[in-house]
Amino acid sequence: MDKGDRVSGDNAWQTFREVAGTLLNSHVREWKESGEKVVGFFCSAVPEELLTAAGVLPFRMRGTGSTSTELADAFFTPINCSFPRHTFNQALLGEFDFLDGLICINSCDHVRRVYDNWTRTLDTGFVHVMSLPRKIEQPQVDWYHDEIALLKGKLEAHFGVEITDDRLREAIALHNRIRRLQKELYEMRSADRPPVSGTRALELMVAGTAMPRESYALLLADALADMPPPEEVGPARVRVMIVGGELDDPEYVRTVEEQGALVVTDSTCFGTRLMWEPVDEGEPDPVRALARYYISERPSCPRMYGDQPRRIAHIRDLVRQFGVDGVIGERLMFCDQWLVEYFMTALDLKDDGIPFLQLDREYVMSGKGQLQTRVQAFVETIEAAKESSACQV
Amino acid sequence: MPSLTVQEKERSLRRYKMERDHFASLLEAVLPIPGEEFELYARQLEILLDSKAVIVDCVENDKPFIGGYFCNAPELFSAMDLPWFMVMETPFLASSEPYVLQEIDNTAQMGLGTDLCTAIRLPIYYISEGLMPVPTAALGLLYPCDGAPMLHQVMQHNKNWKNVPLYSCDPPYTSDERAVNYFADELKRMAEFLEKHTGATLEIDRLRTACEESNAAYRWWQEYNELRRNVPSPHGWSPGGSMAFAMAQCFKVGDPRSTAWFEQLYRCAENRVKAGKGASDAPGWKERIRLFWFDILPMGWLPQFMPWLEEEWGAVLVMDMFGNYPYTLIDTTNEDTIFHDLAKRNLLDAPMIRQARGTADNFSNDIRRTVKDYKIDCVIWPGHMGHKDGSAASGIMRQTCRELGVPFLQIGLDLFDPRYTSVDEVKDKVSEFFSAMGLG
Amino acid sequence: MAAFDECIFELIAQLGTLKERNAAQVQELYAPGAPADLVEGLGVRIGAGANPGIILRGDTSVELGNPEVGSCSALLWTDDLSLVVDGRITVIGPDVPESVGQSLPLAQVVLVAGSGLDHGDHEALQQSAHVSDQVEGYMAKSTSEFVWARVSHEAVAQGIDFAILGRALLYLVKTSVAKVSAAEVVFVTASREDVDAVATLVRQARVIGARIVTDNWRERGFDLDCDFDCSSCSDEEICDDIRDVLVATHAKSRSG
Repeated sequence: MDKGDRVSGDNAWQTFREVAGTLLNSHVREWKESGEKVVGFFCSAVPEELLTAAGVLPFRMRGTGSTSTELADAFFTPINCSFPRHTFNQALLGEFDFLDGLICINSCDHVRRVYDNWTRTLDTGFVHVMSLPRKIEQPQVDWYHDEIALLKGKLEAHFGVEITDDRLREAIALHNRIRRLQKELYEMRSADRPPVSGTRALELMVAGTAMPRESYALLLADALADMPPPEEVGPARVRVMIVGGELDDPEYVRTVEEQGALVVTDSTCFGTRLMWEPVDEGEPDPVRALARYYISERPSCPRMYGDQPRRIAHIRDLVRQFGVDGVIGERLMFCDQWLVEYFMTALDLKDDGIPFLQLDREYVMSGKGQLQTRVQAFVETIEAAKESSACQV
Repeated sequence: MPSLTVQEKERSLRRYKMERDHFASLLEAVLPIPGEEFELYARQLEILLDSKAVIVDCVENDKPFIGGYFCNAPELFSAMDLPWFMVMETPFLASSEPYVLQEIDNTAQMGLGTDLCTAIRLPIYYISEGLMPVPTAALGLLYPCDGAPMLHQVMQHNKNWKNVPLYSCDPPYTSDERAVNYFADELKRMAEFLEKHTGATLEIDRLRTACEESNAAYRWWQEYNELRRNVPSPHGWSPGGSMAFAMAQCFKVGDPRSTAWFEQLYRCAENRVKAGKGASDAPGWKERIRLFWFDILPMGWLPQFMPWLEEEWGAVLVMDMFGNYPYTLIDTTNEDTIFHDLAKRNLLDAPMIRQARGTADNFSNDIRRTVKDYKIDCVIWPGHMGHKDGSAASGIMRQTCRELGVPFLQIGLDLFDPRYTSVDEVKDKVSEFFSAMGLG
Repeated sequence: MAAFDECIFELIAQLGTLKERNAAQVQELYAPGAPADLVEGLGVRIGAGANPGIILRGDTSVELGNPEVGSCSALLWTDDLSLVVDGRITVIGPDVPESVGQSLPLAQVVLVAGSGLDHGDHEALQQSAHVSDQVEGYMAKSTSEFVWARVSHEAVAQGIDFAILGRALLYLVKTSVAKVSAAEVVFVTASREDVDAVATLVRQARVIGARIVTDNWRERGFDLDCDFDCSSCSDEEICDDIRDVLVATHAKSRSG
């Protein structure tokens, strides 16, 4: 498919599924074959807009398709998160040879070490690590402004491009357009009968991190105009929200939904935190606009100190807006950030009377039976509570 | 000042007083024992107990004090005459106390799981249960690991601590001059925060005095570390790096008593070097293995393990992560140089922060330098369950050691909970390792 | 152009300025080229275990490179033989014998050339310049940013000076990497300001060096086979046989 081709709605949803389910998908392949470059990046705090402005395809790193961590286990240990282990294992197997560059970041103790191990083992041309602050105040915005400016200079030097302010503004506008469209789709899910399942929504969101953004934006518009068949979304016994981090596996969401828990919204690294707020296009300095957005304006994740009140407010707002019956908090094993975050979230949601279920998982789905059982039990608990309060009324 | 009832104050001091009493009885036991090393223990215990007495007094009589963390430029607190206690004191000082094991279990019941660092779980537990003194203001640390900022967010979230003003310096990931200058500005904001919330004032002359005193202590520490290069090393695991670190960063920073303690530590070691004495005075004992323990000591099971290393294998902990502190002396010329160098010391020099905050080069470089200078026979990465970033750099550490021709052992344990990997299992692994590598 | 060539050019220019400024205290000495000749008749032992003990404070005659008075150290290598004068030892500032009881600032820069030198030699060269305890009567402290050393009373009495230290360094560097065909060393002790001027250059060199180290890791690769878990290793039998050899070798090297 050429850049900018329009496709029918059916193809758009199929495309999302294909792209979310593979690493080197057909769009990336075509992009590369036309001589263009791809730069991978970890974490939603990396300013993708900068990469788009540099003319490269920003590719969010995933371990999709990985079945083992045998090679990566020489570098990591069993107490390290399975996400970087699987992703790095894929890299060692050559599955990321299509990358022309990689942006790492100190998002967490596990993922940041991918940089150290990657630079010592793989030759990826351009590899850079960003220093992401842990606070959301003005000095941190200033620091990240400088980090983005530094990265900009390095991209320009390495890829031989000039990232003018105008190009950056165009890229911001494109990414904001994508955010608006994604949000538009999400808001449809607040209906009593959402037009798409959480599984489909995740496929759509993951695809948005792994293909040329212009094409994706067009696909998105088509997809909004042409929803999947309504019977795809089964009757929801309960409406749930998923909260968490690196959830890029639609199979996981499918398993949850098959138990009668329709996922109507979320706060995850591939969900609302990516697109609920836009970058300020009115800010004259686009680098500053990006710095403010990524540090203090978009919904944060637990690594951002001092922002838990805003995070729980985001969850509460979405619970209200989407008529959520219960919240599921998923966590990758050994993730300290989400573990302690849920300690606080559980207390807050208890005060609100909102049922909360915490689920630990591995990056590559295992223990499906256990997941099914726990979600079933959660659904039944919520149903029983709803019935009980209905009776009282 | 947070307003607590009498019962709440009493409860908040309960654990603190238990530890005070524990150290008081240790002091009683140590005082009559002759020997330079025991004098050092006694002096340190006295200083620790003084600090605890002050905190108890502050809580009971509503006087201002702060809760803090190591490597938060404690020279500032000294200069401002602010009593402070370390929020993570229990795991670092008292985790071998019998009640701690039950409390670790309680953290799992609270929903804190079993894969979060024990040293982070315990303070969260104490805060949640009202078992920690509630300070006038608190200073947090957002590094070296993911657990640290989460602990401080729990502080902000907790009902009892909600009104305790909390400031945490933001750590950049890089280690260049830009990073140091940024962190220096964070420290300046920290000082302003302390002034605002405690009523204390920071006078630069007093800060200068505290820093000069701190420099004097660090000079002795550096001298002392050179003595440990001797074969045999005059000291092993105790007295050693951890004690020195505690004195330099946790207790009486910028205080002449701390400087005097360091000088005494140096003299004690110098005497042993001149006498040709190694780490143990046991008759017939010989230093056979010089090891680099690249982490905190196993504080939860220290007495069961560390002496065994020396007795059974002649394995001397010549250097450990917390003893290896290639320090920055603070240039006290003016306010800017002071803050600049405090930033450098606390960001780039401080153990664990240095290695764990930034890229893995810090692990690798430390190993290279230490192995050469201290004539190290083997490197042990304990693999504490909470040190995830270090574990993700274990391949790099192993490769570095391979290139140096030095054996490397990675264990996998909990430095604070002996049940995670039993002490016997650790001993077995270490023994197998020493045998397999032809050591000892 | 090799990685450090620009640094070397800058250093040469900087040294010109420092020599002019301290004209009365400049020595330019020339040592022989062959490693064996470098250590002949030196009067101090050079090499592993040359200084088996440590030098205590009380036994220190001269301190060099205490960070409080100024210190920096670098080794810059090139494949361009024209940039390095083999055997030259340049001293700008007071020498050791005239500084008894003093703590001198010290910038130490070793310049190394060999037509086949490349990134793969970088780490071995860097390690070689860290003397540690390889010069009798001289002990370099274990700091990563500086060269901070003590010279003992005994060594001073035996006539140790920068000529000897320079020759020792040249010997250690030349014997560490066979491809080295020329090496020279510069010692600056004139003043803190002069040492700090060199330190700026040293910091730049350090950044270049860090990149080289990372590239080297990548090229060498990781040995993924052995993680010391003997119970699961198919090579245990062979390893057991080798162990005896290792034990013997180890014991021999420890006894010096």
